[in-house]
Amino acid sequence: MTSPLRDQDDHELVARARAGEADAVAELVQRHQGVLYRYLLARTGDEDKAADLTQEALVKALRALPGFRGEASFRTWLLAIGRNEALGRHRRDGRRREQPLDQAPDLPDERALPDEGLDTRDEVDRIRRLMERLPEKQRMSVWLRLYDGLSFREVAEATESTEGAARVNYFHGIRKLREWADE
Amino acid sequence: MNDAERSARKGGEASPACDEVREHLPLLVARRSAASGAASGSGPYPPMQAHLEACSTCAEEYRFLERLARARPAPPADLAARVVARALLPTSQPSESSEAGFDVIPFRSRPDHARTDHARGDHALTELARTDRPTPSRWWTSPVAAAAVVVLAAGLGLVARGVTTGIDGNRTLVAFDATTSADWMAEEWIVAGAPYLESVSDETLALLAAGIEP
Repeated sequence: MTSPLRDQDDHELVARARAGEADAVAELVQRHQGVLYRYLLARTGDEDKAADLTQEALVKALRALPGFRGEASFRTWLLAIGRNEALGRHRRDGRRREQPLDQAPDLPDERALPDEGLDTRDEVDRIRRLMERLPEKQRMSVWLRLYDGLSFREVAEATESTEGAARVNYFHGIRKLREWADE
Repeated sequence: MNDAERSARKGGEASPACDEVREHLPLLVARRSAASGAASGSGPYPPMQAHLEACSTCAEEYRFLERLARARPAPPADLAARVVARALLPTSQPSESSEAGFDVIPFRSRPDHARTDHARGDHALTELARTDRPTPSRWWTSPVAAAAVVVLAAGLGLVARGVTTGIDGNRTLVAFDATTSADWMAEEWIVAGAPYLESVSDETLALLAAGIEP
């Protein structure tokens, strides 16, 4: 889908969305749903829960746009809303956030990859299983950095850690994944 | 440091060091992943490209990150459409199911979509117009909505004539004489109207019945 708003930066889109332009709202959602979903998936390990939380967080963010002062980037602000949603859900569920691996829900298990061969599906499955073995903060750091290109400062804010810790978590995660991939 | 790395470091002022390259490699991979479904892709900036060509260790790291990126999860295809639809609606009253004051359309028991970027089309927003997934709401509890149903039913009653109502078990039956009201009995109306009639409260049904009796 092509959009005349695609080239506009978030600041401009937010301004237009605040003015009531539906296209700007749609572009903001389209642009940021992925990073928010992946962040919440890395955090919860549950596809359905991540999708629900993403939906909730995005709607809350869009309705709260008039109060967004732009001191942080829209993406950082959105991830903070997503984090709060996840924490709220966690409190309501009354469950421990980090579960033992044998009790944790599986990460996405893709069964259909159009235009991709069996080797690719196996490879994706294998990588997913390796990702599941990472501790939560390492997994979040790797995903946010590798899948969405966040700066370490942004990763730190999203993972509630320092920038240095985010950097260490990322590199430790990658190192572990490489070791496991070579096994 | 291997020979390739030393060579890369000697390659000139523009060639960044391995540590710097490895710190930025995920950003390069992320940018390529994001651009894979769009028309505007771009390659690594020249100094990094030169380093990758000269340094086998960094090139191997880059290939490994690209492998990882193939498993990049993607959100459900209709997520954006759902969000936009809800965000553009007027804020509803707080419901029992949400502390936030609006309902979440839950992602439960849906088909096993492929949810990587490989499989996800970029059609989420265009699907908004195609998917008829009404936001769960209790519209029939609104007196205005109930009144609208009554007015609609009364209007149809005038046009349809020959309406027959009755009870079959727990189901309320409403039948129309299509031959006398062909202009009104479009297929779309029947399909769209039937589920709502089954959902309305007993009080509203009573109002409906009163409104359509001759």
